[in-house]
Amino acid sequence: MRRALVIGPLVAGLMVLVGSASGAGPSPGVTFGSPGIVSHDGKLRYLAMRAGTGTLVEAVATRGGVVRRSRFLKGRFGVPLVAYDGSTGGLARNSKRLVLYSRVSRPGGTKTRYIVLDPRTLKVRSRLILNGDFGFDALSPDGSLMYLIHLKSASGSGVDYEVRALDVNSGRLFAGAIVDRREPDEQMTGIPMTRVGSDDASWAYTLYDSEHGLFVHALHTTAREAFCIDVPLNLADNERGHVRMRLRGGSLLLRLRGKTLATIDTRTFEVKR
Amino acid sequence: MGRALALAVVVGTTWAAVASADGGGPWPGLDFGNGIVAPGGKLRYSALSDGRTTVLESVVIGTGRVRGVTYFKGLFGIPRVTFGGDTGGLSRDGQNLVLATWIGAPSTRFLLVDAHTFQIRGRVRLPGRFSFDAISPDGSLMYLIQYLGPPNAIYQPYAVRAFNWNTLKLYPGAIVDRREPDEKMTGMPLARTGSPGGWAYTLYSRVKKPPFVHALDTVHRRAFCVDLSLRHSGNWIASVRLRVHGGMLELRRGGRTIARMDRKTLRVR
Repeated sequence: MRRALVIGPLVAGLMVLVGSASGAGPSPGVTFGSPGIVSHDGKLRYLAMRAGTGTLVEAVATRGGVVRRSRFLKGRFGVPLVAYDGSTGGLARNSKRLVLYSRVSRPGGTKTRYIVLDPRTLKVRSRLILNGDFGFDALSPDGSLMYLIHLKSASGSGVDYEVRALDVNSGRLFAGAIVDRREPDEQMTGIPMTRVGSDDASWAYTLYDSEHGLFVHALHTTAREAFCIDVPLNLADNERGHVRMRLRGGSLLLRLRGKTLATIDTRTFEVKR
Repeated sequence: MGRALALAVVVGTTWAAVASADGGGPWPGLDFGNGIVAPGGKLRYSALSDGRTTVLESVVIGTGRVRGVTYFKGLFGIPRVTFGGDTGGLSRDGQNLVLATWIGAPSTRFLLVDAHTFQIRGRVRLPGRFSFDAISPDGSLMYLIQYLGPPNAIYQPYAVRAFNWNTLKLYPGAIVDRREPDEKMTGMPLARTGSPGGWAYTLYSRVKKPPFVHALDTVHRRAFCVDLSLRHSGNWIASVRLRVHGGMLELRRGGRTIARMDRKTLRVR
């Protein structure tokens, strides 16, 4: 999966959809304000707000809109976006870790700053500073593993990136990139369009669009494994951005305007149209 | 109604509940998080501050999504108007929201914010210690409690004042019950409700005296104090809530109406 990303004109259009997002390329960056990210039980929405040069992070009761907890942080940290449709991430399935981040580009190079919070108190558990551009991709269910999209280089024709895993407890990156071992040399060209996760958060399924068509990136968030599944669909450019995914039983459904276009068996990765 | 306020023992416990309050007088303080619900019940406004910056936001009730957000320099909060946690500052037409600073400083600041765009419509710094009390239905008039005693005095004389947001000026003189202008008011605000016509009804408790309702006409700048014959209510008066029901103001406790005040004649049954 060491694939060069081709960011085409599509990105410009998609960026409009997530107006408050920052960043471009394989990682959509972060968001301030809504949508934030909702806890698994649906009771709390975690939001990051710009507050002067700092950030206000808060947990809002979805039902009544009351701010249950809040904390001001030094520096700007947003809720991670994981796809250009506005899908967000950063909250562990067990609600014990909330991750926010920011990217700072300076002449000396880009640094990515992560902050790990306890969602129950919003107290800071740890801070991480990574040399380079490491966009957020996913968390393991207990939040101990974080997956990052490392932007290695960008040129006129595309960007080169790799998926990396980080041990949140130690703050260290695991050696090597996470690749699809079935086809380790194939280049991935695309941008993340939309995301769904399994109920236990052990799988993160991301639909990518590329010049070669759509494919699903299936990331096993506890095993540090990934698989790329090509989905041959003949869709117009303006329709691809509207494809959504849904998990039903052991199947991943790709849907467009209420119709199922393709079904992927999540055990075998077999695609049926 | 130029009445000296007497803070009773009960204030001590209530004060603990609003531990962040300082300064003198029966000031319920500022709210950070619960906010105030807009007319119609679909939006909640909240202000949060770290002392240097205040974030104001409107949250959609039912989803928790933020509809509007902005930030201001300084510490501002949504004003509490009773020790029961009632908040104020949002005009009944839903167009204007007042934010306030802490009292206790040599001056008190207020912001008038457009409730839809969050643009600041007006700002004022009043010399002295003021707390927010009420706002007229269209947001043009704001009622304040001006504390006149030493900052940390337990017994705190005060005056109810009216402020015009269009002229940015206080009206001269205090708003008093003209039927009994010399009577001293001693009490603390416990519960609040309002009427569509712009009346703000506040239940006050007093030490060794029966509670009373302060009826403030926020449109016409007049007020009335109505004593309640609720004996031995000291232990439970804090649990009483107010409700406007037609032409009556109802005092309710535990789901039952314990007294009614005719809003026209101010007679209590």
